[in-house]
Amino acid sequence: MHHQDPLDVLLARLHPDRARAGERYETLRRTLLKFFELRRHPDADVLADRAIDLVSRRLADGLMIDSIELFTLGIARHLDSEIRRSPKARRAPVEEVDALTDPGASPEGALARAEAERQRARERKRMLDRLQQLPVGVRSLLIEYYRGSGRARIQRRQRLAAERGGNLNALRIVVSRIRTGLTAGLDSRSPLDPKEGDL
Amino acid sequence: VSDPLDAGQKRAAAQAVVDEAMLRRLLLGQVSDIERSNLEEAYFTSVDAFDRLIAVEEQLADDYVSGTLSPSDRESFERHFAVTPAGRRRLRSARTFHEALGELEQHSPAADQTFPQRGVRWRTPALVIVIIIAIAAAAIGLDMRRTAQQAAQWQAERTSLLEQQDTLRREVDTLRGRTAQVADSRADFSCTQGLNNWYYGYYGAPFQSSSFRLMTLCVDDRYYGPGSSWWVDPSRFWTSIGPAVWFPNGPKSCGRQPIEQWPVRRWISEVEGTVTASGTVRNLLGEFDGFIARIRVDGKDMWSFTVPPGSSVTPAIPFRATLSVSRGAAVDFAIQPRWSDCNDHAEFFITITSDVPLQSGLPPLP
Repeated sequence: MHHQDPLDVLLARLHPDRARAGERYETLRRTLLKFFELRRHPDADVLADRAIDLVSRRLADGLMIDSIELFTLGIARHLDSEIRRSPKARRAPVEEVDALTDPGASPEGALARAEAERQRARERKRMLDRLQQLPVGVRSLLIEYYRGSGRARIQRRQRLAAERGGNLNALRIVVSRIRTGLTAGLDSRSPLDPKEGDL
Repeated sequence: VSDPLDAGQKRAAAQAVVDEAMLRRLLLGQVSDIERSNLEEAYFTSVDAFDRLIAVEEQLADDYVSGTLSPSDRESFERHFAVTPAGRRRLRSARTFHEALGELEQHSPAADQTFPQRGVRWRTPALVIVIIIAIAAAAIGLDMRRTAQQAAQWQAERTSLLEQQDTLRREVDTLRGRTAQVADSRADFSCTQGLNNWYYGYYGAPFQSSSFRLMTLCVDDRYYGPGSSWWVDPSRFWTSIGPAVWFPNGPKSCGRQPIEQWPVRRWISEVEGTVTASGTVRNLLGEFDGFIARIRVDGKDMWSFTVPPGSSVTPAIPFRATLSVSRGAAVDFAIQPRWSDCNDHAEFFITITSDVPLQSGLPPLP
């Protein structure tokens, strides 16, 4: 008897075109990640994959549903409540905030603090490189969008939105997507990143 | 699975509850269970709602980093957002983003002088010229409209110059060899044919690209220390490839059948254009007659180097070959025995880099 891979079944249900299905899959996974993050699970990515696996298996079993997204949300809620009920979850508190605004005051050793500083410097350099490699128009948009403060900033953003023929909300989403692209994988190395000695 | 409300109705109902203030309260943990449930349905079923949630989250992180949250919001934020590893990563990203943007801004001229700036910066001669023209015009009583037109013209020219400068900078970056590594023979080594686009095989006579055959045996062995290496048949030929060390089998062989075989690492190009193969080659044992390292693209010889015999370990010889490849091209790296394979203990490291455009993954501008 031929068994179809559950993931293939999920992708086929998301969209007949494989590329579009892949996009929808990524969106679904990002949404699940956010769901578990907002419910303060330290291992949100593991839970997101588990939820997708459960959904895929139910679909492969022949379950018919109206909305994959809402069904996935139901599965995610079920996972969340299961974890909250388990004794293990109660014994595993999420990390406490330790000197968020002053990393130097954390109880880590001097060596660890120095390494954290180096890591921050590396990330700042990578971010600067990424910003400099943006097309001129995108870079100017970011600078203008975040320039100033208070009322002046709001007025500037309204003007930027009007210049682009959209509203402030649309502009905010555009900028947010640019930021998401810029910050993706910032804490991991890329071949385009500077070497240690460059800092 | 049936539901009293169909998906469309649920979506519409959920959308109605999404506004920025509500999303902000969700992120701060200040919503009721019902509100949270509605918001979850909204951002699960609407990409727009999800995007708005992410945008509000970024704004919240920015406000926290810049110290503009109210004390109660700050407390909620720390209790509900900043307690998870993901939340802390986002805060660090927000801080890094604004630090880098501030640095970038210091090197960029202000594009708009209408609003109060973080600091007036006189960084480009063109901007200075604009101001000088404006002052001079006022001094000699020129018509203000004409001055404004002139200033606008200078501003447009300045923008054009900046764009040209940016284009030139990108060209310089390319010329400096800002490249991306696409393959590394040592780091990519595995016992799986085709993994990372590498294939492990050998040439038999007549030693052409078409005579490439895959090796079928990947085992631990005593010649390469810990780890595995590929073999044709260790009981009959020396022909083998490890992460670092290669053995050819010669027409005169020290202990194996006297049949010439060249070990070949084949890399299948995923890129189109110019790639650079570089690395080092040397003989780890020396003596006897040495060997020849070769690079071929789709069967055409592109580079070769004869590693001479030595009394002991020969120095690592750096090489660099610029290769023009098409997508799917077979780039072969081979070790040819000269006559005897005795002590042909070849160390051949290869890195392949490619000039590639930056994949920013950014959305188009509106």
